[in-house]
Amino acid sequence: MNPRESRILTVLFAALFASSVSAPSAPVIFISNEGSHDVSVIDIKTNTVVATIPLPGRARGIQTSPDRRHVYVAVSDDHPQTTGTADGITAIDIESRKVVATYRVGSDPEQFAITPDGSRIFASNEDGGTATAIELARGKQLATFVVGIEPEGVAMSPNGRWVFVTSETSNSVSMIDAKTNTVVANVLVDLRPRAAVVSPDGTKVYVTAEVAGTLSVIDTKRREVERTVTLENGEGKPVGVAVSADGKRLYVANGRAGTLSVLDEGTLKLIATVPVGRRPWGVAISRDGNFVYTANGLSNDVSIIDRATNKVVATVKVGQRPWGVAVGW
Amino acid sequence: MTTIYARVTRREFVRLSASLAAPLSAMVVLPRRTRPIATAPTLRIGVVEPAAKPTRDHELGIALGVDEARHAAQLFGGSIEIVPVARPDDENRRLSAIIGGGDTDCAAWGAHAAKMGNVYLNVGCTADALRGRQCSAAAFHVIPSDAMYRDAIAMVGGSSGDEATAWEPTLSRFGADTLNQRFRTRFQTGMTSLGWAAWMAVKILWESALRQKSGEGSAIGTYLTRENTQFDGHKGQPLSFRLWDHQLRQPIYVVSNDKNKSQRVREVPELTDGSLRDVLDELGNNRASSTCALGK
Repeated sequence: MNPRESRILTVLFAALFASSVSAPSAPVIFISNEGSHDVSVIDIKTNTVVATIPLPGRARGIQTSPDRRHVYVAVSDDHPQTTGTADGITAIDIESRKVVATYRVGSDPEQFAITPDGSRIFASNEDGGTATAIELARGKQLATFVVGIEPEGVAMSPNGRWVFVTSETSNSVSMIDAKTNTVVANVLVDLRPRAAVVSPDGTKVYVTAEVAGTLSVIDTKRREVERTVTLENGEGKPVGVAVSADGKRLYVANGRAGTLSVLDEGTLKLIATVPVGRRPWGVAISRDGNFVYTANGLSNDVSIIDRATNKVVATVKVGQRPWGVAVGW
Repeated sequence: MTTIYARVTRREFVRLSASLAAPLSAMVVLPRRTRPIATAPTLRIGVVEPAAKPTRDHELGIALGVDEARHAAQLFGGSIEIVPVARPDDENRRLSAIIGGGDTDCAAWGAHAAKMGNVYLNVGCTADALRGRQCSAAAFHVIPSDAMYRDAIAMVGGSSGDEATAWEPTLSRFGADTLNQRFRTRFQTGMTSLGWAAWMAVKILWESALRQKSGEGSAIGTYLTRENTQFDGHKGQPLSFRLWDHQLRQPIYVVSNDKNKSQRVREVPELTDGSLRDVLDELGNNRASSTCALGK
């Protein structure tokens, strides 16, 4: 490589890098609303809804792209078992707050995960017993994976190598190698697994089981359940789960119990139980690590919890049946 | 309640397998089996051939249950086979379990399963006596009892038009909508109580075999009578067998058919504070009032 070529490459990489880290200035979070078929945008400086973005169907899983330029939303129609026109993953440009693309990922997409390089999405197809991988640049489906019946939660390891898909009826978690597009393991967990999240060091997967009322820890090397703890005396209906960036705290949204469990990641000991809105499902942590957000499906609001005090500091009304939360800055 | 079941033919299995495979494209990646086949369960379920006309509800429920178990077998290995059985003879010793539910022969099949060393899952007989003086250590009742239905109606001061049911095709909470949709899409008809009970029976047997890593009737029976064993029946609560009479604990739905109002479906018992099992045990005979000797 001559000096001129080297300079060109340096400039190109610098441009890409700048692109990947430049985040929109507005500190906002995005809430998917399953009932009202839209996304609420909350300015977290003022804790007010500053925009509502309409979508063509039920909005459920929601994630921010690694470059923080887009928020992706799983949208499905009201007719499971068939691939309808609304079924897909919709990309919203965070800066303009407009829908800029829709990707077909099979029928009834519910949750999904994005690779750290932002190039691929792995989505669960709730009514198909499958998960689908797509390449975002070309919108091309790469593979369809047979997982359990009624797949829902999708989580990805921080290095982008492993994808974990929960299946509610089969009580299973399927482990997919994202490098080879192969299902490499299936693990039985507790009753009705809903959501999953991978620890920052990639060694553990935390899985909620809604009907059992438990949280299970899967060892990603041994590919088996290492431990299971009961939440809210088994009667909380846990769904959403998030882990702090330092890996020290787990947050579980307990559905019918209307609470958020705060657990020590190492010991799984309960640190606090925070009353939030009615039927919290989605949960996310702010990028600065100061707040936790829950989407409360029956009270149609979002609870904002101060992580230092484990208390709700604000409640913001959003659309109908809020489902998930994505941090957008 | 009249009875019964269903023969699921080989032809039907082939058709169901084909319908499952059809939506999958050439890109489909089948999972590697992660457990050696030697430890994966082989489940052989006998389904009682009724003397009377089979109920299509049972037939379809079993077919969907088998279909879903076979889907799971792609992940974990193992196999499931349905064998029509006509009478209680020694050939049935080779079965893991028997599913049936005839009003006139439920007690006999329960006693027969005990002799054969397998388990009998009742998906149609509601008589209280089967959970009482006629109870059997090998009989497990997936369908609710008459007492449970009576209690469900009485619990809200039911009116004459009320009907208690184990399942209803319009249920939507707790994933009921996805199960109802799967059933309706596959069979173009709604899932009834008998259809749910038959589907649930296959699910119970498959999950028990999978977790026990054995299709042996004795291993399944042991699993079903563990205090902490529970199942998800898309009813929102963990379902488990009462150890004193082997009745499946479960919520019941009361359908109000008031001519002047639209149909209303409510779930009972209402969930209140306290143990879920205690609340569910408000339906039917509790341990103290049971005349079955199993748990005493």
